[in-house]
Amino acid sequence: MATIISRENAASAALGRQLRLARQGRSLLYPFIGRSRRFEIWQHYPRHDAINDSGRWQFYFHAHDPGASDPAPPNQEHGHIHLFRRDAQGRLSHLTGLSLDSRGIPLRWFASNQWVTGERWMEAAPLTRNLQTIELNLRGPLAGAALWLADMVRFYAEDLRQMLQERDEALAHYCTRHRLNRQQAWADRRVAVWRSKSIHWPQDALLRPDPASHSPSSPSPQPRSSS
Amino acid sequence: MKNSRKHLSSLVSALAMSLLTVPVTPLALAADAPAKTAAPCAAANPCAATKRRSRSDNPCAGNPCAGSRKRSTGDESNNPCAGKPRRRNSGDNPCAGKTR
Repeated sequence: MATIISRENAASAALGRQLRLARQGRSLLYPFIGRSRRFEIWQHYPRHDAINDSGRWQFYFHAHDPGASDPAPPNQEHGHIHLFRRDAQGRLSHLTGLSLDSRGIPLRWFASNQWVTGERWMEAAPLTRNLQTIELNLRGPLAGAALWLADMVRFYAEDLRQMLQERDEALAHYCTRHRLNRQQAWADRRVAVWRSKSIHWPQDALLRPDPASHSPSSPSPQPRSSS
Repeated sequence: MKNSRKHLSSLVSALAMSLLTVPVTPLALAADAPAKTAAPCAAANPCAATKRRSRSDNPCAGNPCAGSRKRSTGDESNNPCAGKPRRRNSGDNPCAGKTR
């Protein structure tokens, strides 16, 4: 049975896991790419993605070509994790991306357009349901990184819910403005990311800003920058 | 409450300090096979996840030979990583030490 873990406990667990790795001279990128012979752009780490024990979540880490503009990663990003929700048939819905810098420090969450991952689109409400109880248990070298990712999702659950709601609003606004239907907007290559949210980790663990108090931003898509 | 905040505060400080000693990870290299690198977005969904039916399809999820625990059906032909049951005698085992 899933248990609700407090935001504070999630922060503490995430900090502890990252600290243990750091004391070994390793970043959070190590579990993903540290054992690989080469770290190649576009390649998935792990190669066939990781799926948690319940089969409800799937994730992988990769990096885009820093010299390419399509879609180019933002400054300081070394690579990012894509996290998907899986349904019973194994269909994937993109919950979020998490950009990491070259020391494995998370920089921002982002919500990509449908064409980027080819996901089965889900509205924000069902997509973000029960994020406080997300569990990413799996065996093997990625077990710790998976637990850390789950801790981060729990800690930022409200921010993610808000970001994805804004994503839906941005999509609706874009459709109206450009007279497109949703399918056309999903496939529109001018938009790679609908919404993103910069974070300040590990300082956020202390500041714990109330996400509901953030000023709303305009519902326009962000300039094409990353997936 | 105050204690937990103090605990978080010490973790944040320790992590901030330790991260300074973590080596920077080198940037990703161009792939050996340049096709995708040349035009990544020629692919319909450049960041698509790998489509798999189940977790067991995943050779990188943990220990690929661990599998789930199940009772033997007697037919292990569908289990490529199953160990072979052997009797404990040296005739079976060419590298066994000799009992003297």
